Amino acid sequence: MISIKNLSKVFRTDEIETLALNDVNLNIKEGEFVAIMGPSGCGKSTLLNILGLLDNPSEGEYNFNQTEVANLKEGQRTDLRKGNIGFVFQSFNLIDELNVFENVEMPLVYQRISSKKRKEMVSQVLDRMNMSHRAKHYPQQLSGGQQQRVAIARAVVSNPGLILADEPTGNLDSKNGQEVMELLTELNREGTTIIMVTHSMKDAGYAHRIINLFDGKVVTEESLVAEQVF
Amino acid sequence: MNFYNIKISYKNLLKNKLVSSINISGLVIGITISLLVFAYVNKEKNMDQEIPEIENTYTLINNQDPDISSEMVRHVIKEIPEIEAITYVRHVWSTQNMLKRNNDNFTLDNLLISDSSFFRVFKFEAVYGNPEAALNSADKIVLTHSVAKKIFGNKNPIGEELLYNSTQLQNVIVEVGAVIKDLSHYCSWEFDAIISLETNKRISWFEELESLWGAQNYGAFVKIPSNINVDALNEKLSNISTQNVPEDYKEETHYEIQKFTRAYNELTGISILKHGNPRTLRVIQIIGLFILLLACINYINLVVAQKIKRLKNIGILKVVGGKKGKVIELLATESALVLFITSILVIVLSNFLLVGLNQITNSEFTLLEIFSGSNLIIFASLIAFTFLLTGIIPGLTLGRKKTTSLLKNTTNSHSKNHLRNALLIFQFSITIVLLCGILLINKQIDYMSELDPGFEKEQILYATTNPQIQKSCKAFNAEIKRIPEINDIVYASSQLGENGSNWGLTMINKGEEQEIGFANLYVSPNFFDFFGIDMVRGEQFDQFSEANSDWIFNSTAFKQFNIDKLEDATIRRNGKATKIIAEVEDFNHESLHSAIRPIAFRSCETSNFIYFKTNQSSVASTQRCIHSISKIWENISPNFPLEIKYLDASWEALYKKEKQFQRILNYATIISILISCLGLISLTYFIVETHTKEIGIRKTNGAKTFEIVKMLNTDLVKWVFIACIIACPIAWYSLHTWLSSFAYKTELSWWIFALAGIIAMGIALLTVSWQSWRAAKINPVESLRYE
Repeated sequence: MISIKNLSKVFRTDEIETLALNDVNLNIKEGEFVAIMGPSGCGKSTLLNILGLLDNPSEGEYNFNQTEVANLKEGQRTDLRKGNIGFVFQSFNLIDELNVFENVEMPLVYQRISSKKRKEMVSQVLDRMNMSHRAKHYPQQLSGGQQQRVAIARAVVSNPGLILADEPTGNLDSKNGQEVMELLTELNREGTTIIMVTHSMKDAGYAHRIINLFDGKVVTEESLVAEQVF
Repeated sequence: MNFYNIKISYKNLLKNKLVSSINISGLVIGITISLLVFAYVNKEKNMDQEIPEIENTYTLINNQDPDISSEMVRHVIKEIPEIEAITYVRHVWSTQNMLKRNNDNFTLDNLLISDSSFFRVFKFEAVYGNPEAALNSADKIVLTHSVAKKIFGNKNPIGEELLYNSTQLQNVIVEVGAVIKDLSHYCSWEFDAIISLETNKRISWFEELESLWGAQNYGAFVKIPSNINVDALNEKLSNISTQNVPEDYKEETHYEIQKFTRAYNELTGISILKHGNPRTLRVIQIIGLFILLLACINYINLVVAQKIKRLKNIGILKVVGGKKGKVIELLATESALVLFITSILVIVLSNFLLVGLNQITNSEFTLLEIFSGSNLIIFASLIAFTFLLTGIIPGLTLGRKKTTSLLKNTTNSHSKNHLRNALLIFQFSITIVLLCGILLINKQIDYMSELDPGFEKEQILYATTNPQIQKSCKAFNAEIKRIPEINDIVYASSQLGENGSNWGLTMINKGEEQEIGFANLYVSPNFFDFFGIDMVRGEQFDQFSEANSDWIFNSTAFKQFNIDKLEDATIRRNGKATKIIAEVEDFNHESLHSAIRPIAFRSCETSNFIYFKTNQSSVASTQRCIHSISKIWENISPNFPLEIKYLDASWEALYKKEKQFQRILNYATIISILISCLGLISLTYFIVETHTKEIGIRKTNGAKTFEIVKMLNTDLVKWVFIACIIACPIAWYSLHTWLSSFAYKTELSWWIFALAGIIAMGIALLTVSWQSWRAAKINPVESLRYE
């Protein structure tokens, strides 16, 4: 599903040049659950952003679903992202002015799905997340765990093949964190590929494979399950 | 206030260069424009206050008409002994006036003629001589200082003699009786010199005219002692004895006096005075207020909102030990610094715009005048008020806040949206009303210049004649007709478009006597052919018409006076019955402000104005033609230079007031749009600031750039639309009122309102979209990191 070759990312300000990713090579197959770990500032989030087509690499190749995407324009990246990739963030990133239903509905609006169909899809996913009773509530009326469940609902509502999670349990207590991880595992079991950035060894334990980054480079890869799973 | 605070404030100002400069320039433009507007309004409302003893000076009115005859003045003097002094004054009868000293000729543009009391009623300050005694006898003149300087240099000219030449009087030696200070622009009087009334006795018809009760050719002004009750005096004037008043005038004799200071804005019928336009003034004043309001609210809004952005800084200040007082001190210093810069820029910009203001309003404002009196109070309190709202109050509220909440930046920035939206609607309502105003005024002016006045005015030149031309008119005509570029010439007693004189006579129609009033115009017999005006019935003037005192009336006169057949009616003139020989088609003999009135034409060989019809339209050939005319002119009338004008240009000039209003409104609209746009920029700035993260989230979830722009602009479109709905009825009502002052008016079409709305919407979208676009283009990775 994802194949990265010799990928680098450089950030430039007036005086300083920072090499965030340095010659990264990576392959991720469909249906995998991959955790990316490493200390702060090692390039985890940068890698995730590039994988999620939010940003372009400075150098190297990125093949996503058999398409070369390393040099796509913003509009093309957006088109490719729609319906294919869902995002879950540490700080949930829900829109305060929209209620739960409207937050979850948003990706469908931008995919030009009819309102009737949208209603159906959102209800289904909220049901699944046990959030139907909260559909009319606003984010600030929910607990952190509930907010993250809404964020996950938004990420999966259009049935994307890939979910990118950036420290999804970072702002949650352990109970809520565990719930979220179980939800992600369940989604993965149903066939969704998941790439997750995390600091927590416990969370990483839910993954099939752990990729360790240090100073922009992949230092180790460890497999947690037998090959035959795939 | 210490140096450290000033340094911090200065750095903070530089850090937000764009926002700070938009912010300050909005406020500077707003305050400056409104101060200039208020200075002008103040001037217009307080005209003539500088004239000594003006509180005891009044205008004499008869039957609501400020035109008074000398007989009426004598009547009032005789019956009302309480009056301290009374004067009557008018422009001299001549169209061209010159003073000659040695061999130098000086043209006087504005020469008044008055009885001896003028300077007893209006005590203008003297430079030389005693003005109060200066007009006591014939052949005396009082000059203004600048005219005296032009003629005599810096010498005291009292007792000096000058040769006065005019179209009515030639080679009269006049003596300079006094020199007064130049009239200030706060004075509604406007003249170069005043000549004594007695001088006119040399004109053959003068004394006969003066003896007519109805020769209401003067403006009359009275001075009363301060201890007299004006109401009682008015009562007495209104019920004055009419024993010696001629029978026809008895009923209309009701005198009244009105404060002279009201003449400028209210008695616009007095043609010797300058006048204001109170309705326009009110509009201008309201616009000035709005501009000030918009600019201040914009500024305060933006500054207060910006403070919210700096909560963290203030939190840090408190962490390192700054107490409440320190916070107030810092914010007050910041505010004071900005307002100090603003004040300096206001003065600089005012100085820069002063020339323009003086040009548009025909005034002589100085910078000191703009910043004195009530304007200074307005300016100072504005600055103080703004300082309070942007320095002290934020300092107090932020100083009281908990340090932890300041550091977390947890102020809810959504709560103030209502105020900002209301401001936006308010701004755009004003802008749309002003836009409607401009569109309609342009439409009306176009309509008037395209409207056919019913006579030809293209390729026609005209000039005022003089006794020399009139005396030799046969020879002059013959010479002129030899110029190849000239097709025809004609004489008339006044300029087409301006009313010459009004007559009232007795008509006998089907045996019944009837008093009729009409405009009167003397014309040479070819007048109607010359201007392409058709006869409805009857014949044009012939060579006997002048001797027979024949009349031609327009169709309106026929209708209004119920004349069915030409033979039915005669006009009594000097005891004889004179005939009406024809009816001409109506044409606009006055400006399009008034509907066509009855007008009578009489035949003459020569008169005050001569019109030349040229067969050439190019500038060069017209210049050649004028050159040929002036050569002939100089030969026949060496004393009076030819002053030639274009009839079409003079016709256009009748709409000067509308054009001035149009210009003022244009500027006001541009400024109001500018300030509204500045407001919008700041509004969008905050919409974008508060939505940065949302934009990132939406983009991550598949929104494209244009979808984000659409989202950010939707609200704006909604507010501008509401502004349209509010503005339209207001605009309709005010424009409808404005239009009603015209006899010939264009339609108040629906598209004016639609177009104004579209323009406002377009401007708003353009202003906002570049910011929305920039925000929408930001990489979502960046926006999501934004807290």
